[in-house]
Amino acid sequence: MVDPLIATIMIIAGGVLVGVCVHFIPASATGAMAAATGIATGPSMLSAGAGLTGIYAAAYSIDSGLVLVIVSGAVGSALMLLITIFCGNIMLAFGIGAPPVSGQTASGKSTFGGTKDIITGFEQEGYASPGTDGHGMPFQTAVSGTIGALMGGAGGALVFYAVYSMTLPGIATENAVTLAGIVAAGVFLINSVLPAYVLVGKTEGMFDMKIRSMHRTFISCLVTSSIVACVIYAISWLAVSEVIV
Amino acid sequence: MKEIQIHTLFGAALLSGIAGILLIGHGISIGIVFLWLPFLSAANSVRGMAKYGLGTGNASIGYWGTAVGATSAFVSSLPFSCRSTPLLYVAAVVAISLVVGLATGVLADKVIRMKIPRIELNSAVIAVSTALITAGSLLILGSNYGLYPFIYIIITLAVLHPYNASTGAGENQKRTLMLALVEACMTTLAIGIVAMLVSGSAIPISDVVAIVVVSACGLLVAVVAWYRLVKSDIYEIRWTGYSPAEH
Repeated sequence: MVDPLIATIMIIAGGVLVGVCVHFIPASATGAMAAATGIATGPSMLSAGAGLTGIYAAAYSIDSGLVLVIVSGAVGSALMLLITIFCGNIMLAFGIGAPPVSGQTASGKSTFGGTKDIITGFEQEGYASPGTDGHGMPFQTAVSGTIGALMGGAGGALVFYAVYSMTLPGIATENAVTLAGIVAAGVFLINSVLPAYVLVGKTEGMFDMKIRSMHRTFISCLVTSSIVACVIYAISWLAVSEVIV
Repeated sequence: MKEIQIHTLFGAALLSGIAGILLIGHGISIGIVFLWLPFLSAANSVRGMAKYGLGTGNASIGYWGTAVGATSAFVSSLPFSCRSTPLLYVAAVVAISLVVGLATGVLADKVIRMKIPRIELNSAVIAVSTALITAGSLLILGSNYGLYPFIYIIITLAVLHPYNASTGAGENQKRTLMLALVEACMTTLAIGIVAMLVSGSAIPISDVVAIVVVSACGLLVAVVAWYRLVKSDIYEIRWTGYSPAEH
């Protein structure tokens, strides 16, 4: 268990991590038609899905201490995202014959410049179908997504453990786990939708130029998480100290 | 046709929601019908935000707004007993959801520069309305923590779906709000059925049956009214259904 004040800071840190993670996860609604690089859904919904998986994974190791909870959440979330990327790539490659290509890199507009995959060195230019902004999830995008999911899962687990620590003295263990889970999911959804406005529904992860507008996400998530954390702290204090019954 | 203003609908929803919670808190479970108006108010604000073309769509707005509202109601149920001090509980729920909803809206407007008119007002309205609905549902279902995710999801769907289903050519507020009423009745019906099934429900079985019957009647009336609106609107869009001689 952690001190309530440290738990409040953990909620703020977790909320910010969740917000920032959305910038790293490749997602695009038009990806469903193989018209853009990224997983075929909105960035915020995908991040929320990865985060919720992380919270479920974290809940299984709630008795094993903070470090294991965070690691469990991060790995659970990353696993979910990697499986989604893998299955998405299989369907796009073998279902409609579209190879995984980064649209931004193919047009030379990626963060690091050039038209090659920054990790594998595979040429991207020429593989993107005409009229599309890439398709599928090439290696660099998958790596970016994994980093994002690790951050998001860790953030969700941090919030989960913090709320669990705060409420445990007031209610039974199994109830504290459930309440912490749903509150962590709430914090996750609040913070994961805010950056979606910056991304305008599409991002290729850290290789997309939109990563440069991350400071706006950071500030908004910091303020929002701080307000939410203060409310949770105040309410948990009221509940635990039994000021009002 | 003149549209209902956000302020008007929200004011009515706030009063109606508080009245509903107080009625349920004092043992009159049928007061759940007063929670239908907050559903309409939240769905109207989802419409207000999403019709300007968000990058992320209706689903995210619904999830986001309900996350603020439901989380406020869930955490408020910890220190304030919703049964013994319903007035204090509803005051805490409204205050917390209003502050967090307004703050996220202002941030989305000023920091992220969304440029959506009245985004702060709409996000606050969704948060407070969904918080009131969650609080009412908690009063019916009792402090059964295992049902929290169910309450959250069922309210989210009822709030985000009306505009999502109605959007497109010829969308109008009247039809969207009527669909919201259909889904509000459907949601309270589901809450009633779940209250019947789970053990440790906070209210007696006769009250639960009353909730189910009233919600089912409301659903029937709302579906018929909504279907009529759909049929008349289809005529406007497709220009069919009248003989050529009339035009």
